Amino acid sequence: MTQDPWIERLRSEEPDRSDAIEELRVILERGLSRSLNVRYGVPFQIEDIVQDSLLRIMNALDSFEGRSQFVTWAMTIATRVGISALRRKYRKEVSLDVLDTDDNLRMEFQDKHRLGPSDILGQREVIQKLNDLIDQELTARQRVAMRFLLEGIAVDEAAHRMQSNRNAVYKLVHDARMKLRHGLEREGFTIEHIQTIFAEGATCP
Amino acid sequence: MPLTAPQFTSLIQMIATAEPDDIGCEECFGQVAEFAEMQLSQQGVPEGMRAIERHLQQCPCCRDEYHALLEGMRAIRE
Ligand SMILES: [Zn+2]
Repeated sequence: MTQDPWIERLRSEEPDRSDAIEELRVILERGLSRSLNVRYGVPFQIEDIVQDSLLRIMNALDSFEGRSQFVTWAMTIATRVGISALRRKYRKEVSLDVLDTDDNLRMEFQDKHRLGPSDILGQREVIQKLNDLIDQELTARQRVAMRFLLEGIAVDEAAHRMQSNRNAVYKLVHDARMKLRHGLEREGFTIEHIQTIFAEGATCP
Repeated sequence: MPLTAPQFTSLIQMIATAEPDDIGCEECFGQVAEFAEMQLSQQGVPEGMRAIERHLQQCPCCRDEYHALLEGMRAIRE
């Protein structure tokens, strides 16, 4: 396989190497200026993010397999660096009250706000079943991870707080979602039915 | 602390949209550049990339980064 010209230049002698890095810096800055501004819409120090990205990219050159163009590959790294940094910067402060570290942490639903007295849609039964499943089938870490996400915290941020990694937290949440879905289906509730009875405006007067 | 009504709605959505996902965030990250290029050149999703597509549907974090990647790449190519 022929070496990608970018890889060759980034590994070459000075001053070619510095020229290539500078060229890449300009490209990353153009890309990130757009993508991060669209998301966060506030001024921030993009130079620091680009610099951090360049370091990561240079350290990861060996892992570039040539499956995409080099610049696209470099941008995936820079995008992750940028978004992670901004998620940290603008992270939501969540009161620790909601995250009881007790192993028995469970989700409770404010069903009084949702259920009409007659509950003709049968919401109470589903909520009860859901609570049972959460108690019996989810692990404590799955409950905590789910709760973080429901509080609006991104997976990688939740991973940081749970002293875990993003892959693991994603998996905790994904497995929990599947367990709850299968659990409800086992009880004879279809997803379509559940979505219908909890749809906005479906609450009985 | 109980979930608020919007959180409860999100929970229902998270359950309703749960689908099997064979890969994790790291595997997705390793192939997302190639996937993005196919999207940018408006090619269909080949069979071998279906797992990436499914992960992006299931994982809001990777999806967010993927959309940012597309936006960034469009800016670079302008
Ligand atoms: Zn992911």
